[in-house]
Amino acid sequence: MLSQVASKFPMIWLTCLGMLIFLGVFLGVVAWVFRRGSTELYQHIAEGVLS
Amino acid sequence: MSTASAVSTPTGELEKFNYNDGIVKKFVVMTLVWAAVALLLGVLVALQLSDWRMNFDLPWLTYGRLRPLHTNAAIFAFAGNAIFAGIYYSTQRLLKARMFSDKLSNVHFWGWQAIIVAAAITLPLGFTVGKEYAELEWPIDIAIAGIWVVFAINFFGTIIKRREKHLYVAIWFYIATIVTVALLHIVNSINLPVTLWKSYPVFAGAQDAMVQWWYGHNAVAFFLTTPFLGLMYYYLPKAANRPVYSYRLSIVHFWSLVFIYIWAGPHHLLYTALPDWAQTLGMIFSVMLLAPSWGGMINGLLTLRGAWDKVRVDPILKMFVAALTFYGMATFEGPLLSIKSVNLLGHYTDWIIGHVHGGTLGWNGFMSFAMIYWLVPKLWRTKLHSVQLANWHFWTGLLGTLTYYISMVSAGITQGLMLRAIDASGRLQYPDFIETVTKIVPLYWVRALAGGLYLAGFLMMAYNIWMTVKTAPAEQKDEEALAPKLVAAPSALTATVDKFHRQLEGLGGAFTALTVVSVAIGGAIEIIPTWFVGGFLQAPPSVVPYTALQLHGRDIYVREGCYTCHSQMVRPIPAETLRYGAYSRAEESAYDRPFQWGSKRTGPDLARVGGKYPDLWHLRHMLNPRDVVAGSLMPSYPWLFEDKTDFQVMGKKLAVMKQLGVPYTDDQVAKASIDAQEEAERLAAGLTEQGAPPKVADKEVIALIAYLQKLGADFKKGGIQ
Repeated sequence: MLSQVASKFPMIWLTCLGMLIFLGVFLGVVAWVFRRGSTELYQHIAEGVLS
Repeated sequence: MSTASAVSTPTGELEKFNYNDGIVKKFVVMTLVWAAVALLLGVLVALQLSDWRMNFDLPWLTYGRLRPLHTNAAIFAFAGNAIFAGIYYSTQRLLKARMFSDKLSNVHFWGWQAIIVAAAITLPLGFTVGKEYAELEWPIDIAIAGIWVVFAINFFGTIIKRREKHLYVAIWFYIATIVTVALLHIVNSINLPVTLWKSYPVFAGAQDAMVQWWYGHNAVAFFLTTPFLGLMYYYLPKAANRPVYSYRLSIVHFWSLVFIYIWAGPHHLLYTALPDWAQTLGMIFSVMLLAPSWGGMINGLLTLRGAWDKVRVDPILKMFVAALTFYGMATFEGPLLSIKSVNLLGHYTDWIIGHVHGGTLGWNGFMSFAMIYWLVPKLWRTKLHSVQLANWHFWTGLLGTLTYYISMVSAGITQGLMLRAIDASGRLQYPDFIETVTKIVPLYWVRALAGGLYLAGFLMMAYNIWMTVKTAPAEQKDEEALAPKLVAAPSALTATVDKFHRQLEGLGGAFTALTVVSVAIGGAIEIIPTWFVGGFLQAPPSVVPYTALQLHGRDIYVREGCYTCHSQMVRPIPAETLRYGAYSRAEESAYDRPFQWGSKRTGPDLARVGGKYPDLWHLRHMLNPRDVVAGSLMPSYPWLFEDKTDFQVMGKKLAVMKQLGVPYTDDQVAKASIDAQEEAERLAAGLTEQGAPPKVADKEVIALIAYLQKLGADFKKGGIQ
């Protein structure tokens, strides 16, 4: 079944490469926003907009 | 005044400065002016689609010329001015600095209005490149690039002179908008001029289609989505007086959206002659796009946690909620329509029109209106004239948007199902295309009514704002502010986070570079391979370049906006090959500048129309379509029987095409005018024999017929696999 689906998608490696790059970007950003000390910083920034 | 003075306080030296609110006011006023124009045009084109007589037999009022004006007015004039108003106001407050240069702000404002006026004059006159949302001819394209650069200098200049270290996420969305729109506009507008108001794109056929929809899709992404998300992240917390639900989510939202959006363009070309790998790439990334889009919507809606009681009474918050809900709907429906099997039904039908208007009327419209209702009393230092009227505007607009959406989705699905219905004997159940159109005309009337409702709501707003401004104090001054210099900015709280992290999220240059890299990866992977695939650039010998007369006829086809109702792309599915003939191949469009594959079928596909009907049929059809197709909605084109063909310009057209790689000989270029006149005489003589009036050889309709009879002719001769 999977191979049949895959056979319909020429250059599937390109889509896979794109998804892998995205996964790297996504995980990188998630790791970044949860870095130590970010909670206080982001709270400060979000509340600062209201002033 | 842009100068700042220092004030000593117990906490240190603060700089006193004022914001440039004058420029925001100007953009707000023009947002309202152009919204009126765009919505009026929308209602008019909706009526034209309901009753052909609304075209008035006037060239500059025909649907094919006004529809591009409507879309340009809605996107670049109405939404564009709203974006600039919102950005100029929020950027100054978020960066605690007046805009970099008052002069540049004014050049940006007046330049943008001049561009819109130029579009409003040239599009009805038929000066168009013929590519959706990129119709404007090359002198205006250059002006757009220039004014955009002015805007960018002014914006980045403000970032440089800011007093706030951290760049709030709204500023990131603005940065993404500025750099990506510049990239898209420049690449998609590379044309070679023939005359002052005529040019041909350097890309052709499948490659042009790829570049155009890379642009077209991302014009939606980076002109109608990212700037509005930036505005949402600033104005919604302000209006609700609550911080954004999750600042973390906004960062993940930003990078995911910016990275994925650019890959999704090919979903506009599913089942066309575009390479399969590009279609697959577009489909998968479109489905993935749901996640970041909904991340943004959820972040916006949850910002109102604990403030839902205010939504009940505050029309501004109501509009924000409606806008976010429509954004959620549109970004669910977009990925759904990008799945090939769903797209097969929805593409080329009014379902797409419903989808698009759900986004523009619901998301962009209500976002702009909410922002203006919030901004105007603050800018003019007064109170809103009538909250009740604003509530009326909201409900009228909401009813209009929902009615529009439901009528068009119903029309689209009805027509899509009828077009692909095959009976038990394997024949088309509705072989006449017109049957599928007349069936949905009642829904076209409902759509016109829905547009009227939305316009009525807007007029209530225009009156409300007018009355609000009238009661404003006579003396208007720019708002004053106090802020410490940037070097003194880090607070005790932000200093607890390590210096590296704090600095990186405050580096405008680094963020701009990363944004460019993010959008460039997807763009490059989609476009660069098509440059190296010879099949798209070199047609086989069986594909013959257009004769001078056919090429001129093609330019008339583009000028009249025929692509707004007719496609030239037979998809490889039984319902289409039975109706139109063999499916379209990429090489058939190898000399097409611009490509004319289309995106909507209010009329049938024309890829194989050559030779299907005699010349006389076409002649009668252009004079009065109802004479040959009962119930047709197509406008009549009487001016094509009066306006003379410009034979002299044909040599120049062929020379430019030759320069772009079309294999014309020097002799063909030199004799273009004479050859075209001879071809026109032959065609006209044949028509006269069939009973047409004499002396039509020099009329534009002859060139158009020559072009229409060429469509699909190379394929029918054989030689194309």
